[in-house]
Amino acid sequence: MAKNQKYIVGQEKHFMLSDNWAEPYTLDELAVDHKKVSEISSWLSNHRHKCGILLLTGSTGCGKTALVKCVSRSLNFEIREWITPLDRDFQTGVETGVFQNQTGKFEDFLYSSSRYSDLFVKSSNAASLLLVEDYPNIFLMKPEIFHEILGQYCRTARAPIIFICSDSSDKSLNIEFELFPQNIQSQYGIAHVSLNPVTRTKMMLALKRMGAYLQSLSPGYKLPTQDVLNEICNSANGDVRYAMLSLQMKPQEDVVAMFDFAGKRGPSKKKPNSQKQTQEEEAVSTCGKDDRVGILHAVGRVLYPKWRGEGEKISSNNVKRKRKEGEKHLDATTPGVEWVHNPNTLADSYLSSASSFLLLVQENYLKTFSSIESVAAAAFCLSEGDVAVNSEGVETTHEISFNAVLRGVMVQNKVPHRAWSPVRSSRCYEIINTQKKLSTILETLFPLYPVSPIVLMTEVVPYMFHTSASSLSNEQHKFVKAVASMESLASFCDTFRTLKEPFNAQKSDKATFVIDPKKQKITEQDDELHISEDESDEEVDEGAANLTMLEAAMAEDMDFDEGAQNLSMLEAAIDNQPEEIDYNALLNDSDDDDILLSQI
Amino acid sequence: MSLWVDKYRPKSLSLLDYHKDQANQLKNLVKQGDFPHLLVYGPSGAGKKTRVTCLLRELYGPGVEKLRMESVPITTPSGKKLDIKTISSNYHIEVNPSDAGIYDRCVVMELVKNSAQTHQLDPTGQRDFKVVVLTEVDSLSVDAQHALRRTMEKYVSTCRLILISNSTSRVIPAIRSRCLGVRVAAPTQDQIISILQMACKKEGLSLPLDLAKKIVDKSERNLRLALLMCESCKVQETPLKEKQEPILPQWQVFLKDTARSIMHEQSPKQLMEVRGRLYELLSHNIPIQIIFKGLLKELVSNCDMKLKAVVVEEAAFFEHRVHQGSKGIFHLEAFVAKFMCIYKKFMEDSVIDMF
Repeated sequence: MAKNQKYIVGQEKHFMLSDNWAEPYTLDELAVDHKKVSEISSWLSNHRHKCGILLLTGSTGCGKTALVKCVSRSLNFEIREWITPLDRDFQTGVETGVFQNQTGKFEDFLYSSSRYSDLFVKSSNAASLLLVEDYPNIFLMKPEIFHEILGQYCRTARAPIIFICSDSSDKSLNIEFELFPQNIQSQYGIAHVSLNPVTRTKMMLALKRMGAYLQSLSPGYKLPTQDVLNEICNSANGDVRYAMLSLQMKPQEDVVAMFDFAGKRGPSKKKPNSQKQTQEEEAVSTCGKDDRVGILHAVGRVLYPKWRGEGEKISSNNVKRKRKEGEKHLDATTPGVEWVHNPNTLADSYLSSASSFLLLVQENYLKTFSSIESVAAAAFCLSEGDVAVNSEGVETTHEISFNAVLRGVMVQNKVPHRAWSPVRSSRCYEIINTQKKLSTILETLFPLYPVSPIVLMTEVVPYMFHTSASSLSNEQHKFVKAVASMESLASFCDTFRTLKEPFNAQKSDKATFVIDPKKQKITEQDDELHISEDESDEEVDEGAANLTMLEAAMAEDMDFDEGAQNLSMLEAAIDNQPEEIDYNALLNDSDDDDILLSQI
Repeated sequence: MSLWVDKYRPKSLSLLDYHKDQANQLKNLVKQGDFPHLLVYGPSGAGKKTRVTCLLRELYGPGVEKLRMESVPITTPSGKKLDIKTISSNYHIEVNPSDAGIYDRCVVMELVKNSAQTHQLDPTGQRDFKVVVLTEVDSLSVDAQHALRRTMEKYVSTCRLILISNSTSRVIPAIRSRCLGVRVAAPTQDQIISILQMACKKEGLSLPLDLAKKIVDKSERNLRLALLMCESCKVQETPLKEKQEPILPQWQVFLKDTARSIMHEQSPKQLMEVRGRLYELLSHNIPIQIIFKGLLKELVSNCDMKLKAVVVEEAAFFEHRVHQGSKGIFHLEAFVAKFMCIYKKFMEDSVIDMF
């Protein structure tokens, strides 16, 4: 295999530490879904020597770049990739001649490489394909420049272009969201293909192929066992590049044997088999990336705590079998047990988002408990946790208290109640939103009423329904009725916006609650403010709705592959929930409002 | 038509119905031409705000009643822009700093500075200071209170502060010592009854004494609540009857039902339901302290004497935690769970004792 040669330094069988050597060469070797492959190939063959834009998205390491390379190779396309240049030549330390900004360079690149063929191309009939994976920073700050360039490209180009974006949970880093909004996609007819994380089967195939390839390079290489492959698959979470790297980094059997040797000298004498097992696990986990499980997954581990007896090995079969046999359930009081999932690791990896983690636990823990006594103890822990997480103090106290809270909740749950139940996002944010909306509604409906909003809600408004119903305006009446009958105000707040728009449009018959006619003065500006605030909260609710659809992420050692992509999506939703969405929405919406209001 | 509460709100110090000595003192204070910062405190519905409004009128004349609502843009040191709603006249500005949440410190400082730096345009016949009224000082963060301490000394020549709070316990001593404390106690039963009867008389109704007593009882000496109840009774049935039952706000009924469901069954599933109800209450803007109080009152009334002490202690413990933490529902739920636990054990024990 000629292509392999260049990755082997000299005649010695070294591996390069880059991932390139593991890259698939033919279409069959790709770890991507066949449908997606054929989608891309048909698009490419349709756009040979034509202008066309394709946007390829997917999570990191799902094989986007490899896909493009393989397909273009098979269809005889020559890839020309944009690499953001440095303004200064760092090797010589001299500024490179005429200064041209990155935007200009990018423009030039698009223009020249899409029209003129490369002089150095070996095969004359190769069509060129532009590939952009690396975006000049200026575009992220000013997407409109990018959109302009795209328009220019559409007018002049004679070669297709593929943009590759990695999905990102953080909206501010999300290139797809920033540079390719929906309206731009439709304006320039951008085709969009989104790749899913690599499935377990595909990943397994790729790993095996790699193992065989490694063995062909050095005969001394021992193929990894199935358990090791499983472990790698689990920790990779759909990231094939990472899986390849960890396969390469996995110590060989002889290294493990060395561990084994050391172990035998030690005081503990366990069965060699099980020890080897655990050490292999350790070996994998020590060289893996920090084994961060998704937040829902982690919540599942807290809610469904599992213990194992001394020397017992974890495997899903084992647990399942035990349950079938009706073996006595282990709990923290059984001597010699240990956690299957160590709370330390959980606490470590979620320390930075401790309070949202606790919120999730709090929302969901009741369903898994069976007795009120343990609930009370766990609730006590959570209450302690809320105080600890919010207290000012050094980082270590947070760490320890968060750890203690998780352990508390886990220990209390002696016999987790197992049933299918969706993990819900906490209603706390929803409530806070409703409260915010409520105060804007109160300000709009009862301006200048001389009591605090709390008194207004607890004392005045409930009685208004009984006393002065006739003198209220329509909106006021609806609101007062909702409050007086303890209707769910969340839904009321949502409908209120639609109610208010016509109310706003005809400002003349604006009816305010009359305290003193002299006092009744509310500027139009105030009303504008209310709308923009009202709208800003919408998106958070949507995020919450998504979450409730979620399947429970129990800490079962089952096959999580299909779930994995859902989970990562939802994690993003959770991470964003408290603030970020809010701000974005606020920014977007306030712009819209200006337009809307100027129309009115 | 406006509510009786607003209709019969006294407009000047001399018209106040109770604490007349205090009203006179305030009057004298104003007559002197100058007055210190004030800290007006007392329970809800005792008439603090009414008293302050009367005081302002005494100071500046009827011009102070021309109110307007403004939103003042304020930029925090971190660059976040806030719009704070204020109610102001030419002479005073009123603000509820708890609207600003964690940014209350800069809001308070900015507002006091803003109003202190502008002098009255026409000082003839007017005071040479403006008044800043801060309501709900209880919920002002300690940070903001410390900031206020310095500001109120610095701008004392052009600006007076009137702080309104429910109790002085959450006002730091430094502020307390810089203000003249004015305690507005809740009106006594008789005072409320006479006010209710006066209002009814003006409406052309006669209020039976029994009903008035019932109203006073239910309103817990909250005059505003009493007037609202009285008016709702009128709507319910005119002329007023002795046997009428004053209407409670729906959320109180809801809270009582919640307490009942806690007593009814003690299980995680039930707790789940209770949590839903608590969330509902919270989303109605009912402060968590009031929920705590209401719940405790209902629960304790159904408890054995021995149990009462334990339950109250638990409630106090978790209520304290609400102030320490940030997510009230955590602690509220922990309290309910704890209560369920205690109550269940108590019931089981008493069943065992029976045999």
